[in-house]
Formats: sequence, C-alpha cells, structure tokens
Amino acid sequence: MKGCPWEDRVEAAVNDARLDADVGTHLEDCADCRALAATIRALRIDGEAAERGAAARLPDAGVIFAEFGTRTESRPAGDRAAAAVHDALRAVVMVEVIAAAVAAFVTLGAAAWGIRRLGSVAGLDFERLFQFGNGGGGNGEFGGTALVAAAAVILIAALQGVLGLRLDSGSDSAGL
Amino acid sequence: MPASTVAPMTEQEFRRFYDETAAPLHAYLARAGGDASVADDVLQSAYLRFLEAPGRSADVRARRAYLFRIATNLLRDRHRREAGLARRARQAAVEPGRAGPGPDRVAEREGVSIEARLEVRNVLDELGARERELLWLAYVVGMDHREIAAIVGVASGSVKVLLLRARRRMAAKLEARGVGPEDLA
Repeated sequence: MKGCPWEDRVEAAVNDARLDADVGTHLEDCADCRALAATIRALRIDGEAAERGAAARLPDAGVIFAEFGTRTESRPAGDRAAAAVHDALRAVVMVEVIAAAVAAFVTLGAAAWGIRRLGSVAGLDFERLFQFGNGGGGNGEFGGTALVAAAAVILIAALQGVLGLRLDSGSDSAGL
Repeated sequence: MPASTVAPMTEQEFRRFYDETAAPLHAYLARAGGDASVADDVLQSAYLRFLEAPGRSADVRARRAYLFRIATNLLRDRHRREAGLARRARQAAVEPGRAGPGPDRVAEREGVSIEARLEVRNVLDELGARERELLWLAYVVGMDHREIAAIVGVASGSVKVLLLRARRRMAAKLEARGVGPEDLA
C-alpha cells in the first residue's frame, strides 16, 4: 500500500503547524494529502480537548507516590512467599510432564506387546490385522506402534507444556 | 526493556514526570479505551507499575514510551476481562456533552464546529482499538514509529503502513459522515 510521495512532508508540516508554500500548493492539488492533513488536525484538536478534560480528573502525584511507598514497604515478605509458591508449582509441573511421558510410553508399549501376545495365544493373526508398515509383517508393525507411541508422547508433553506456560503467565502481561 | 537503568525516582522527580505525562496519558487511555472512568483506574495502576519497574531508562522519551506501553498493556488486560462491559461504556462515551464544556470551546476557537468534532470522536470509536492507539500515539502524543511499535506490539517497519491504513479508514469514515477536509480546516 503506497500513498502520495508528499505524505511524509505534509505530515511533518501539519505536525509542526508550518505549512510552507510548496506544501500549500500541493494540498490544493492532492485530495489524499488534504484528507491526511485534515485527519491529523482533527486528531490533534480532539487530543487537546481530551487533555483539557483529563486535567480535572487526574489524581495528585503525591497520592500515587504514597501508594507506591506503602506497597514497597509491605512487599518483601509477600514477594518471597509468592516466589516460593511459584517455584514449587513449576517443579510439580515438570515432574508431571516427565511422569506423563513415561506413563504414556510404557502403557502403549505394554498394549502393543499384550495384543501380540493375545494373538499368539488365541491363534489369531493380529499382526496382519493391525500392521502399519510395508505389508510384509516383521518390523512394520513395530515401527508403526513405536511411531504412534512417540506421537502420543509428544502430544502429551506438548499439552503439559501448554499447561505449564499457562501457569507461568497466570499474572497479567502489564508488568512487561 | 530499556537498556540503561537508573536509581529509583524521588518524589520530586516523579512529580515532574507526572506533570509532563499524566494529562496526555489520560487522554490517550480515555480515547483508546473509550471511557474516561476506565482511564482513571488504568492511569493510577500504570504509574504504580512504572514506579515498581526495576529497569527504567534515564532517557525522558524512553521513560514516557515505557509508561505508555505499561498503560496500553493494562488497558488491554482490562478489556480482555471486561469485554462486554467496555463495549457498553464505549457507546456511552460518545454521547454529546460527556467531555464537558471546555473541549468544545477549544474546538470552536480552532474554527472546527462542535458537530464536526463529535463526528471525529464517533469515527475514532468506530475504528479498531489498535488503529485508535496508532493514530493517537502518532498524531496526538507525537511519538516516532519505533516508540509506537514498542507500545502497540508490532514490528517497527509495519507502523508506517498500519498508520496509512488507519488514516485512510478514518478519512473515509469522516467523509461518509459528511465531514470533509474543509470542515476540519
């Protein structure tokens, strides 16, 4: 998206309230720049009005500074407690992530082994029914099962990671 | 986060900074947020956060930009929490007479009719929150593109294009309401 090449010059001239002859002549010819100048001027007038309206509503600077002083004095003990809780929660989340990943891997591995075992006991050919890979049996099923297990572990770990991030961003973003 | 840091502000330093920034910040919050009472609340919180922030810059412009950034984030957090309530408040804020008699007298003195000025405010309210922030920071507060990018949370190179779009949308909306450049000249 491109505007008139004079836009920067017009913008600066209106901002500084100094319209030289060239800019004045251009404004007569260019509707876009006329609209730009008018928009900036309208905003500035509204801004001046809003600032005048704000003056009556502003609290005294001393009140805010006193509030800051009060908060600072009562902060250390509260901050230490909050930091300890936060650290403990982070540790819990990390342990939960690792435990979930291990549990998922073990469960899926046991299930795959169990199915194959059941098939061999019952005389059913589960390997052909559930095979994923190259159709030739052998390592195809194992590769497929391992792939599903790995995907499940990654998914669970990712979900846990999201939960962990949510925990970290529990406070609002305004503190920067 | 600003690069250079300074010792905590004294009350005198804070008063000086507050006198320079409070009215422009309140005006910005009232217009960007759509409601003066929201601006009252957010303003105080913004200054408290600013005082508590450990990494303030010694540069005055950087300090001002940092304060506006804190205030913008607080405003957005508040809007996220109270989206429905804020919408109703914004509608109420465009009613004539809310700003008091002072601003209207300014407009008349500047040769702009009260009607045209109210249309300007209505159009501002119709724009998106980010467009209002961009336009206000650029043309009312007078910040440069780098400062605006840090406050609004966009890439510095995008500010020029976003501002152009916002200006064009505003100009088109003003024209649709029958307010042309001649009404604002």
